[in-house]
Amino acid sequence: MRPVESIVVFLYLIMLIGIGIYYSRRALSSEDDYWVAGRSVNSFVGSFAIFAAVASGSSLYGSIGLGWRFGVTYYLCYGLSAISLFPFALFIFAAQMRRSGVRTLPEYFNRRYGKSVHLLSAAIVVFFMTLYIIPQLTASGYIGSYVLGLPYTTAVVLIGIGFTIYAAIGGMWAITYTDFIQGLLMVGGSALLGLIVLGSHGGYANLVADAVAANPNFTTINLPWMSFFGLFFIFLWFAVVAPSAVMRNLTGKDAGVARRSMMGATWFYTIMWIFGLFILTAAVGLNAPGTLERADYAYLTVVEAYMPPLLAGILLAAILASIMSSTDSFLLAVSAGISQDIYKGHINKVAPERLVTRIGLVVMFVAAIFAIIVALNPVELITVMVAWVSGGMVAAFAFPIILGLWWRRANTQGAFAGMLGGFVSYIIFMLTKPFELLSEVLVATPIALVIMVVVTLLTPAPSEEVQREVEKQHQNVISFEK
Amino acid sequence: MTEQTKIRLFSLRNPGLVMVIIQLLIAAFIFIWFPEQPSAYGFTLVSWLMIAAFFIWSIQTVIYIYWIEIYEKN
Repeated sequence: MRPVESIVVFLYLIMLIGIGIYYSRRALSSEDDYWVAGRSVNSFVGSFAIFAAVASGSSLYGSIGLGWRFGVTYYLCYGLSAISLFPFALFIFAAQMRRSGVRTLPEYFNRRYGKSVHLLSAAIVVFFMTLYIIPQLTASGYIGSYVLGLPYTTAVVLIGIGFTIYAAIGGMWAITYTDFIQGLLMVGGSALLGLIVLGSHGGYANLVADAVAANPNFTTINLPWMSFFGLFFIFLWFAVVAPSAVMRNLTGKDAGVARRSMMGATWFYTIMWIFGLFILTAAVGLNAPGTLERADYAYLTVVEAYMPPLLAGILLAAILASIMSSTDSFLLAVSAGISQDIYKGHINKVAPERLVTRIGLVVMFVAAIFAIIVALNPVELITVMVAWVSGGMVAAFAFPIILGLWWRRANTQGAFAGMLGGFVSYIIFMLTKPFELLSEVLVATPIALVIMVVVTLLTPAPSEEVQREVEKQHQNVISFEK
Repeated sequence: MTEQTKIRLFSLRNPGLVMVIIQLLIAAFIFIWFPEQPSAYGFTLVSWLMIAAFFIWSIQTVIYIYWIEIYEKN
């Protein structure tokens, strides 16, 4: 056990839970408050919040393990995709999505395409978001095990339960405001460690020389082109298809705040990835190939080698915070998928707010228990697991969203067939593994597109009312709306 | 729907469309060329292109924010 690190992490988590309890009163006062923080967050808080929500254990922690295993170019390719995700969503989707006034992605599908697509999308969100929690718990288990000196499995169970209680008591209010603190710590912690590493080696040239001496393949291309492009493609779409990011975007007071929050988050990603490059290079210098039991331990070796215990505690708290914020929003997405989209949306439309919230809490705990059980035996690198899950959502949702926003003719039958086609083909590719690492999405997504376009053209156009609604959202962007 | 609306929907005056086209062109440039020869610090040239894109895309978001806000005012 590392006592100083443990105390710092413990105090930090207590502080977060305190904030959660404080805001829980407001959260339970209305359904809208619970889900989207009453839409009253400014762009400064919003930037850190949306960044922390999307930048998960994969971005801050898993990226180092990924780079250690596959080389610096793959790490930078992951950075390229992570930095592209907010601009891409901002340019083509954020304004229209916010203007549509929905709180979750399935709710958008309901409004645009109707009941059948709504139910299918809710089921897919619940499926993938539950899986998404697994790599997050894996990362937290590694860190918990390192700090507390506990076996990995014990750490996963304890932390998983703690995260779920935290998410359950505060809803989005607590998450949005604690995300602000977590975002600050993530960017600051990465910068601090990166600078310490750089200073210790007397510049980046020395750092790289040490890394290449330990692993001559560090700077070479070590995977096929398809794996690079697949990784980029998955995260390019991430903010469009990830319900957590959508919900974060809605927390802004108005469209201007939502946009500026995404701009700020893009810069935070850039800063974090540049400092992460220094951390990765140090990790490679410290650990020659084959010396780590798991590649995802690479980050921890740098923390241990370069940071005094107090700072290490703060940094590890930052990493745990990033995982916690993401896990919370995924748990909320699963919870909303069942309680809001399926139960209130189609089973009991007049359900009282408190009942819907209570059902959401039960769903949250069930999903968390499932994820904890699976995370006890992690199968891959954290980032690869995250990319697998994200790729499934891209294959299923990317074109039903984009064509729904930009093509008036897109209809229910086409969206349903495309979504189902993308989902099923992706699952088949994942099970049979006919392609290179992370390139399944490059085939499944075009399949979804073709199915959606063909079925749409073979079936009747949507009503005039639906087409006018699509048109109106674009008129607003171009002419007057704010 | 009117012809005027159709033109507006896909107009190059729409900042979002212009920005996303630039973003995708940069990505296409990187992935189509994908130069693997070593460059500064021994990194492949494509690594440096990716780092350059980090900053270009970040700057694009700033330009977009100003552009769309001026656009809305007008």
